[in-house]
Amino acid sequence: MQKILALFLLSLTLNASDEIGSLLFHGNCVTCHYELEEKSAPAMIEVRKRYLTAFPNKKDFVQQLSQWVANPSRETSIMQDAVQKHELMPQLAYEKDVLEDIAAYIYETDFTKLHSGHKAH
Amino acid sequence: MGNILLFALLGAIFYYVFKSYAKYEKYSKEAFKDFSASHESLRRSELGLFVALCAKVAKADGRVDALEAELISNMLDDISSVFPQPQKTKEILKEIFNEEKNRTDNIEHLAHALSHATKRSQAMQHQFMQFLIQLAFADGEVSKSEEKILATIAEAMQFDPQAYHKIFDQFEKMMQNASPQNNIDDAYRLLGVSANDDMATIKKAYRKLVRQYHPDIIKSQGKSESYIKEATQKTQEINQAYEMIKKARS
Repeated sequence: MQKILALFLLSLTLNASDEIGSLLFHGNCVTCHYELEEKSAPAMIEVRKRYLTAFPNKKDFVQQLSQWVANPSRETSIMQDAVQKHELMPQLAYEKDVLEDIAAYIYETDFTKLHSGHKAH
Repeated sequence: MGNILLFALLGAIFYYVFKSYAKYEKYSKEAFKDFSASHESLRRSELGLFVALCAKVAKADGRVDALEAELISNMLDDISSVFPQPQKTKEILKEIFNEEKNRTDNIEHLAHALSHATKRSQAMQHQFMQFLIQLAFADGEVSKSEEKILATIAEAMQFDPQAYHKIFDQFEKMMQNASPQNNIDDAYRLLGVSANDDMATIKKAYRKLVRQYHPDIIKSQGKSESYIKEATQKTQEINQAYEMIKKARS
């Protein structure tokens, strides 16, 4: 019984942090990075795919992605083609923990499927 | 056995929520009208309209910051908990929020509709306005664009200008009075954590406290102004303490 309750409470807190990530992602990133379409910046599914290939482990993924966005540089980009095409991403001065929440959300979210905060079409 | 207890627990929570909610006749009627929560019915309801306006205020300065996201997440939980299908309702409210944050062309229309939907209750209009203003203050100060959006909303709602300025001034004073933590030890103490705890633990404590203290739109229905004031002030203090710790560690 205690196990069930613990799991229940754990799932609540997990959802909560995932949700903050979702709100932050949809409130900030999508202005330039559309989920599925490449417009003024690479599509989020593309970014996710590249980072997943390079950093399959969640911890590395979150660390690398958030660090790069905190301090974008041509040299350390794993998406050279995108930097060529769209120029380097500007430094946006988001806080480290905000970037980590967002990166974790991106890691967990398959944007091609129905996900939280999105209308079913 | 576990399941029965779990359901009993959930039942008790819903009973409590509905009980405090039932005092507000209009609200409970609305809840039952929307029994099968759909995108359209929610969008037209005062709570859907309110969420849409929150999206405008939150995105006014071009970005949604961490505390705003916390407050919005709590607000969505709070609002959807009074509906018979909280999970589904919350998903729809999030969709509404995400759609609306990118548009600025329909602020007046939404505010007008909200004013119409709540025309029988001045108190409720007052409460909604107070929450929108509070959201604008969440990041410490109100930007020009936030102020402009708030003024547009107030005007379209035909909200009494005097009452509007009174709320605004109150929050301004509150922000000045929110006593900043003098030193890092106070900040740790306020969050109930120790200097040896890792950042993840501290963040968890911070989130829990924000959830506990920030004034909810539904839960604070009928509560006194001083409750909202105190809760807002406390939220600010918690946030400042967290910011201070983050800064010290970076």
